[in-house]
Amino acid sequence: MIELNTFSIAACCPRTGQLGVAVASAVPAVGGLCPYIRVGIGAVTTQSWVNPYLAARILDGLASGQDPEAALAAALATDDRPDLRQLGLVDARGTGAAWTGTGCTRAAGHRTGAGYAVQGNMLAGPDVIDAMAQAFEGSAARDLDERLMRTLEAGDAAGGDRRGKQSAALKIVASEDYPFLDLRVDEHAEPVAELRRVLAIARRQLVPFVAGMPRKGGPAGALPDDIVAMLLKAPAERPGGSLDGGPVGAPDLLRDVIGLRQEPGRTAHLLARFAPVLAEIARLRDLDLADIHPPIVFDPTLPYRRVPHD
Amino acid sequence: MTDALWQLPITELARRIAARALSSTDLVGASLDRIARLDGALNSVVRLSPGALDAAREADAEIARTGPRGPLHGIPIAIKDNYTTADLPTRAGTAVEALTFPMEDSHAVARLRAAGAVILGKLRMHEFAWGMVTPPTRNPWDLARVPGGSSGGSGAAVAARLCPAALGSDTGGSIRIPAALCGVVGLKPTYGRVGRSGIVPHSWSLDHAGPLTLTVADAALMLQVLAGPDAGDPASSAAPVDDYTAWLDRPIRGLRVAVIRNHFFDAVDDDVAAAVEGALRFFAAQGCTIRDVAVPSLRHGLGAIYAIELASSTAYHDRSLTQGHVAGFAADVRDLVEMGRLVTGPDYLRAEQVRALIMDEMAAILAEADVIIGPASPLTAWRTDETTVSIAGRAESVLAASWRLTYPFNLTGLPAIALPCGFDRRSLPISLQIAARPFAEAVMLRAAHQYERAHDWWRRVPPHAG
Repeated sequence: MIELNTFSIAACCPRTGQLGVAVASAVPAVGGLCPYIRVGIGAVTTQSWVNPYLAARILDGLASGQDPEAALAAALATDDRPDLRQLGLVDARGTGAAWTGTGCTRAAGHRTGAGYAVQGNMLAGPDVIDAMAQAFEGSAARDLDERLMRTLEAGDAAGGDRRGKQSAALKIVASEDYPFLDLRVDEHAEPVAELRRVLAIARRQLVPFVAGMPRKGGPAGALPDDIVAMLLKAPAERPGGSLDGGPVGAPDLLRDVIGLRQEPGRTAHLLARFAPVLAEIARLRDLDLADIHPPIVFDPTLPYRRVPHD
Repeated sequence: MTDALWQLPITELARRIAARALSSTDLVGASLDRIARLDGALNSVVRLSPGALDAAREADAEIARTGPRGPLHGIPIAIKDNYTTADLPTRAGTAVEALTFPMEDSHAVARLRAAGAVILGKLRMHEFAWGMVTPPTRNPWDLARVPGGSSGGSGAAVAARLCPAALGSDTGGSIRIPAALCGVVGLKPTYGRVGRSGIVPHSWSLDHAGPLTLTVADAALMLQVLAGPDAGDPASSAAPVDDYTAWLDRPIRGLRVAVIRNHFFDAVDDDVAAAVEGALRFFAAQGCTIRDVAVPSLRHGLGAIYAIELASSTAYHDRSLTQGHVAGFAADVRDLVEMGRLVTGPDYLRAEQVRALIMDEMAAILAEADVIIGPASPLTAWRTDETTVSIAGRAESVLAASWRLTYPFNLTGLPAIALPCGFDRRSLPISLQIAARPFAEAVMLRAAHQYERAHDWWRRVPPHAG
């Protein structure tokens, strides 16, 4: 049995009903071992000294009408070493539940809230769980893929797994029996950052493709022409690819719209330096401030007040 | 005559000058001697005023005829190099020779001269007041450590007793941080209280002008001269100027003290926390009421000040960007000035909206309190080779840590003062911060003065000032 020392989130989107798991760990290919999601039923992550069968039993329990706590307890009752397990789950109504066995390597812990369960073991510290929960709760206006990604990034920034980093995964099931997104970084020095990069490409090259795939109970049909045209191109030439110059005649956002007129290498440097600043500023974008007048008061009398400088 | 003259605050120097027991010429001469002897290692002075001794002699002549104009008459004061001066070029910390600034006295310098102060010279700062370290200036408590910044030259010069007072400017903490790290008093008055015309702008709605001094009473004397309207600064206030020294010795019994327990105490060095708690016990023992409060919206404060400061600074430096002068900026400053472009218009205005939230929460606290007291800096002076520190078991960049406790009062524009409140395990100064309602400098100074008088931390002289 493998010990998967891991930090993860299982969550449900209250708007779309999507169910998802995001997970990172210092073992290879964590995405193949921890997340289990069943459409319309729930999302489970099973970790620490991992027992995959517990995830299946929990999903069976949820499918039979048990609430998350009951399904979790029933599954653990079938295991002779529940003290070694860590599990987090949500059902399709967004109720979370989690278990951290006393035998999990410290720091270990979990937290559940509206629509989510975050959990981890062998962590750099208890702050990791707090940072993850805060990132999820603070991004309610966002889509589930972004919320899961931010939660993982927050855990990573707070220290993550104390042995280091190796793999990360993000899986979301929407309304079909196949995943809406299933992204893995199986072996990488910065798996969470790499997962963010893969997600950005997947949003432009994969999500439109998956959106056109056959649906349960609907006509199978064919993909829309523009999606087919995109997929016929080499990956680097597709939107978000390394050779993507954007549509012909379209402005360069940074150069022409923002006015950042720099060499490409310099632009990359500035974007990297700006990233932590942007992380703080981006949090402001998630606040509802519509009723707040900024403390900037335009004063039309200013030029009339000015007297010659003596 | 030069018996430890350099150790005296302005209040005592002014008394001796008024009594004709001390001449400005001797005092300015003593300052120049100390600079010649000590500043080679400190690097706090950019340039000395060639007319300082002449100005001192003129002051002496006038004092002999008609007495001193006021307590600053004949007192040598050094100026952060982002205030323009008529007799000295202003460099604002930049090496780009194509960028020049008017050879005329800024509002604050003109006020000091009108009060009879002798402008001693210009002090080192981080380029365009960006950053909090002020290389190559060193901390007189330990030459291997930074003086803080951006008014690092001002902090080091006053701490090393090269001059009894200096001007600084404070956009995110640039007066209070070097004051804290160098163990002197740093006063950031209410936004608009001291006119800023003639100071090279950094971020218009965050920039404040103010003094660094040895004592709180000296800060009050400086503020008395500096405060008032400035026709060249649209943000300057016409609010009446209080008498800042008259009430300093009045008891503080009944004063209501609020302690913001979130943000300001989130990650603070153990020695700093202990010193601040000790100061709070002092206020309690004086009959003040102490109440713990929280300002939850401060969790968005960093994003707000980043957006405002970056966008404003980039707007100011736009000409340097288009003309390529930024290539001559220090690498870190160039990065900041260039990346400010990436702050969008809506982000900037949302930052201002968040600022309103923080202002409202602070105002609610100050509706039931007279002053807010806490640490000025979560850490003491760090080594010049340190970029991250571990505070209370948590790694943080020194730059992020250094302004965490000061920038809330730039966002809110409230008056705030940093003053020594003890020494840490390495004998480095620890600093207390006291803030108050807008234009309530008098009560803030009174609280600070009462604490200072009971502890006299300011009398301890740094090793590199002997």
